[in-house]
Amino acid sequence: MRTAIVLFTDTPFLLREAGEIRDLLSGMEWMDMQVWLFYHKEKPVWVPDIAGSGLSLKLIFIENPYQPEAFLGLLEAVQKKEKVEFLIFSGDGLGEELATRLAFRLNGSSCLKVDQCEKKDGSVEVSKPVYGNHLKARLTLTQQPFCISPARRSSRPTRVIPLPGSASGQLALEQVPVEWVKSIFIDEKKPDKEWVHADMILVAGQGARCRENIQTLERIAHNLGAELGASRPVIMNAWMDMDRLIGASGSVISPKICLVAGVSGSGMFNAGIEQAEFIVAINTDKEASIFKIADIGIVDDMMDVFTELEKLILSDRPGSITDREMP
Amino acid sequence: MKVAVCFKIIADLNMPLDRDWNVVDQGPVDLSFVRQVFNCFDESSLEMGLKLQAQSEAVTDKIELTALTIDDQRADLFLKHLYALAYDHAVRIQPDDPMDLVFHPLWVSAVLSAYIADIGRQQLVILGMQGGEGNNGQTGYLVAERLGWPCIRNVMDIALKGPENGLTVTSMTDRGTMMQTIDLPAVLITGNSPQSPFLRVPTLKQKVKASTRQITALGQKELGVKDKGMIRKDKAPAGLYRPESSRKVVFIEGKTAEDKARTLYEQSLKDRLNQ
Ligand SMILES: Cc1cc2nc3c(=O)[nH]c(=O)nc-3n(C[C@H](O)[C@H](O)[C@H](O)COP(=O)(O)OP(=O)(O)OC[C@H]3O[C@@H](n4cnc5c(N)ncnc54)[C@H](O)[C@@H]3O)c2cc1C
Ligand SMILES: Nc1ncnc2c1ncn2[C@@H]1O[C@H](COP(=O)(O)O)[C@@H](O)[C@H]1O
Repeated sequence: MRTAIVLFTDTPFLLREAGEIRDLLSGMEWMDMQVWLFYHKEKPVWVPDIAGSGLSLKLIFIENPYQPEAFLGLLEAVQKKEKVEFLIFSGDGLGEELATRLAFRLNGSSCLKVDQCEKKDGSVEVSKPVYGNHLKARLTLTQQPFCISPARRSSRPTRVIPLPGSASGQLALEQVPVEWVKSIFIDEKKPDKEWVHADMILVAGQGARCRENIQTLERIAHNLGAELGASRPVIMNAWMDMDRLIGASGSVISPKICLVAGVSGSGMFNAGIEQAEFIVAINTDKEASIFKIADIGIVDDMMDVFTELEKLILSDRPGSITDREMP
Repeated sequence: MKVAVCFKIIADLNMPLDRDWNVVDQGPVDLSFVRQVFNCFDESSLEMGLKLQAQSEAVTDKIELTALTIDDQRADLFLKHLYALAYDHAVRIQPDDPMDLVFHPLWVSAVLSAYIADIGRQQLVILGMQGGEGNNGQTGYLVAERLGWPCIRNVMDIALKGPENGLTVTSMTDRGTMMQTIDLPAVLITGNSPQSPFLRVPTLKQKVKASTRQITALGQKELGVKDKGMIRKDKAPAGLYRPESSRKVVFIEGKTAEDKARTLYEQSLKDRLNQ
């Protein structure tokens, strides 16, 4: 099956996104694979190593990287030449938008948040979470080209391989003008996502009750040597920064230890922590769904448990200072 | 200016217990016994619509605001709620097949855009980035494609730009917050919005006043989307299943929170922390 992976080099999370695609495709034999690599600033000198060497590479310059309409026009032009049957996009917002809209324009099939996929008799069968992650649906994509993007998972970033000197692969295409935008301003601040790689992550939910308690938890997390993440209501109440959101529409984490407290355990949240090695859940309600995905459960007030835990850890740590100042 | 906000009512999926998920071949799963709520992103969209309307009164002609959903009568209570919050029109389109509502965004988008293009004639459409049952995340993009309008995803905030029908749209991107001034028509897709996290609550007086207002209920036929066959299907369902959880929780017992914290630390954390 003629397949193309579509990526954009200028996104800050390129290698992680490539890692998600590599993991989705692992175990499958994908013949005849191309990578369609968009770039805006500088022509890339390396590419993510998704399926080893031997990929055929197409380099596509994009003049206006802010408008999906501009990407779509170029993708249509490339597809007209290449006629691939299967396109895999990145799992970020751009990839999802392009997969959906390109499939629509080409009368193909599209599916997002795919966590498994398989070739079947000239078609592709995918599986994806539905009903707030409580169930999975298997779906057969019926119309070519099949356009998909992967579900978020905590994939290792891919390695990179230098761009082979000979692989010009540069496509000369006409840019698509976008006239409806009158002005554009970006307050450049790459989201802080480094914290998701920490070995220990403490996660606070609405059960934290107020901003003051979140501030206390920030101190406790710091003293525990952990990072602090949160569920949607904590972020929506502006108790914490948006970068710290965990779940299907936030970050997916897989720390060695995850201490999750005051979270009811909705499927959309759980998708964000399920891959942690060891999960401790703290909740006042014994019936809370969060206990279904935990290794250890404590039914009690989260603030009381954490306050004591902080004391224990600090007293075990020689020379440690209580109430260390926040960085 | 006319604005449509498309919203979906979903089962509050924080609630169901394990035993409720005994599935079912291909769905849809009957969740009628579960409390119904606004899909969380749609709550933000609906609130953004109200803010825009309030802003328009000061700057230009008042915006005409329509709340639009494809659903059965269970949605009427929510539509009344939106009347109470000063929505000018509350429109419900009755689906022929409930299965399509969950798994068929090509169809949902066809019905929504047929209403917008032929009946509502709005210049701005706001939708959410994902609905909690099908988890499709596609309807907004498809509405944009069908109408042939541009769209912006991950929208956090919208403001009127002067009296001449332009908008300033704030959205979140991987590189930071983006602010664009745009012409209409356009489709906006709401993401996580700390600026409009929740829908406001109507007063009792507003509720009473709204209680007599009529909801506009339409069938697919009235929209010219007569035959389901008119809208192609791009995928075929091949079954629903419940993923297994490999974990079995062990509860820590103790008299006080302090006791439990101590047991947790000694038995489960200390060694792991020192590794
Ligand atoms: C399409 C879609 C996408 C979504 N994406 C996400 C996402 O990415 N991330 C996300 O988080 N949510 C997401 N949600 C929302 C999600 O469904 C839940 O509504 C949300 O996760 C609930 O957050 P919570 O558990 O913190 O709050 P609640 O459900 O209110 O739970 C609070 C919990 O705290 C417990 N509690 C109360 N007091 C205490 C105390 N003193 N000590 C200990 N426990 C206490 C309560 O028993 C309760 O279980 C999404 C929803 C939809 C529809
Ligand atoms: N039945 C519906 N009626 C009105 N709007 C809908 C419906 N289904 C989905 N939408 C809109 O499309 C968005 C994305 O849904 P989905 O593509 O199903 O994840 C939702 O947030 C709603 O704004």
